[in-house]
Amino acid sequence: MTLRVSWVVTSIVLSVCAAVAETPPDACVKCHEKEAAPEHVSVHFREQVTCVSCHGGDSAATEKEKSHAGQVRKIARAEVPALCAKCHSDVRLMNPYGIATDQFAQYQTSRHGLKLAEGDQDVATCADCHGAHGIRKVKDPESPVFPKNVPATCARCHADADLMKRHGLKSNAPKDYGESVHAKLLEKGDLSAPTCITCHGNHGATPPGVRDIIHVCGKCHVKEQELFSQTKHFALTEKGEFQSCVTCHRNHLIRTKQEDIRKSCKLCHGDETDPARIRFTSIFATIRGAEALFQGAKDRVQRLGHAGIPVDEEEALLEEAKTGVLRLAPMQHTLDESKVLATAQEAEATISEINRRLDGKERAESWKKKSILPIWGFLLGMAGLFWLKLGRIKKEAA
Amino acid sequence: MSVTRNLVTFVRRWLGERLPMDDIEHFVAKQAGKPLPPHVSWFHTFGSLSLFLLGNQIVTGILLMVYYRPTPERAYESVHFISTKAAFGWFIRGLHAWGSTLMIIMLLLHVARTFLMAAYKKPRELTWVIGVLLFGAVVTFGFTGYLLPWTQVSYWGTTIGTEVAGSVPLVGPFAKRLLLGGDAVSGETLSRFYVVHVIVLPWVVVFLTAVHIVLMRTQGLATMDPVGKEVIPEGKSVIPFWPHHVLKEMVVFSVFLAIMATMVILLPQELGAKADPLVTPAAIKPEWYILPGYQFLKYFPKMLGLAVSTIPPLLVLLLPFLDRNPERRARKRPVCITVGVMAMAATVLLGIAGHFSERSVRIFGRAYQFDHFGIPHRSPEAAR
Repeated sequence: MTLRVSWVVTSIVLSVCAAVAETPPDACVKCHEKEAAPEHVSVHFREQVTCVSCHGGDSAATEKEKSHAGQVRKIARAEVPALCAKCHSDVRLMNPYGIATDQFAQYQTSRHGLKLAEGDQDVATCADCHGAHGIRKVKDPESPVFPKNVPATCARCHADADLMKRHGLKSNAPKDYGESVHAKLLEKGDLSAPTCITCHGNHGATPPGVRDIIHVCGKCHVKEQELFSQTKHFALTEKGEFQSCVTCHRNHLIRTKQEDIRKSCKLCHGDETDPARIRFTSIFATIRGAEALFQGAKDRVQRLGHAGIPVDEEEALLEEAKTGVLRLAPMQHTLDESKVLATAQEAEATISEINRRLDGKERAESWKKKSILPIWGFLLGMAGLFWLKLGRIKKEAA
Repeated sequence: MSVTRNLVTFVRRWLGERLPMDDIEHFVAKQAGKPLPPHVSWFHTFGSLSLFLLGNQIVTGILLMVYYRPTPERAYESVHFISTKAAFGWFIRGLHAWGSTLMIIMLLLHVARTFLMAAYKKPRELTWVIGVLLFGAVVTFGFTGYLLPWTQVSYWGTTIGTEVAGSVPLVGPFAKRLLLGGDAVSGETLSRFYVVHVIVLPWVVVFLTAVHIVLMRTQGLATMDPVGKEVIPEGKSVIPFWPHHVLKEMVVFSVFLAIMATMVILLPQELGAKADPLVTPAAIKPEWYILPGYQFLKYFPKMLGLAVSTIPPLLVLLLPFLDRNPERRARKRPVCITVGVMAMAATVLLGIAGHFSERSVRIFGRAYQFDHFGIPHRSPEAAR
């Protein structure tokens, strides 16, 4: 009996605890169910930031008049950043969570923030990206600002043709990004792949200027930036006459295929006698040749390995060759034919060594085929002897 | 020469003081001199070739076990080591891999010869039943051994095979978990298949083979006389087992061994890529000897297919009890021969359909796409 009573009491206590844990601990829920529903996943709710923290009022009161007494209000869009900043700019409050406190300052310098200050109600505020209720941590895969979800979050406004038209912007950026190499990486699950905020910033979102593009791309493509800085194109970029990386690779629809880049080159170097055109044609041919040689060697190593020939050393050399071939992509940014050729020749020398070794191994394997002759000679000889013996026995028996 | 003779005499005397050598010699002489019926031909060597291949599988299997490691981390690498670095490892592995295929072919030929000559009829029903069970055990040998190299093809082939087992009503999910040791092919599966392959099945096959041979030697080879009217072979027309038939087998063994060695050298068993549970290869298919059954299942709804697919093996197993015709000569049992030959042809056709299904093939310059059921359609690419 005692056991049963304690079981019932324990169940009731646990149920109450669970109910309390899953709903905001105030009276607002009674009327504002729709807003309260997503709060059980909210990072704010878990840290005791409740309805009244933002909206004001008295959450302890159970009657509407009393609970709405004071300054209960629906928060205007223009007020949102400053309201969030009340806590998020407070170093003492944010420090324990390791959250930066310059977000509001950045926002104020962003295109969104500047426009909001001008009274533009269309621009994004904190709640547009992070949500208003049910705010999740950035690391939560369901958060709208989780890396994989960022393009879709930005696209909510930036793919809206009417909205963008009102502000004199194009609405094709999200679509273009979706077809870029960056988006492909993100789709594969590479969370370090660039999204909108990698280039434009998140809270301080603003399009980089022409001269800044190389620095934005150079955050990841360090070698390319370094080599590009030594070229004539860079000097033109400094003068504002060349849009550095995006001239060849475009901005949102990032292209890396050689044929696409070649088209971009031809825009300025269309004349077939143009030395620059001759040079880039030669550079592309060198890279293509090295890549084809590498692929051939890779296929051969794999084929022979599967066929039972030991290729461990060749696989190690193949890695070396791969490094050489991968170096060609940044190297072409020098626009220096001789440097590209020298790098390609290094890789090709390794590939030649691989093929030379494989030739030797294939020759060494030929003894296996030659061994068929003595095997057949011996076994057919034995079969012949047994046959003769059988014939003789039959003859004797007859 | 006298040294050898003295040694033999010494050994005989030594053994004679400890064993009933006269009885043993009498037994061996009786077995060796046992007369065989006059119709015994080259086709009667399929059984002994199967026995030879069983010996090959056991010896090469033991040698492979020296280097093989049955874990997902090491299995592929150990087979790669055997194929590339261990002395003559490639040859031993080739003999084992080709041996398994050739053993199934030899058993099929042996079964076909026994069927066509009606050697399964009374009093040899048990010999047939044990032979069919042996065939099942050898196919299981192939199925369990297929996974051991832990390659993409073996991993996904086993996945398909265990999926089929899992779809059997009632016991299927349990059988699948028992086979896999989980919900998918994993290290647990590899351990289970390895134990079954190297410990359980060898004993089962050796035991069944021993019983099969004892029955065969006790009852003698079937003649072509009708059931109940068999005449014990005697006189000048009989063929002595030793040395006549043994010499015939030696001729066949020598030629067969030469062919097998050639296959190992010229058609090496490639290892392929290591198993990757996250990457499913396109159009993966089971081994050729499972292909007819696999294709057969495609033509029926799941449950019905599984029910129907148990009928042909059962018919084969119970053949001696179903075929009541006492005649053994093919021309005197037209119904049985016609049904049997049609079943063999259907099996071959199912195997061919299974091989080509879901593949694009160019025939006489025209591209064809074989659908799921193995039916060819003009490829849209060719139509353009």
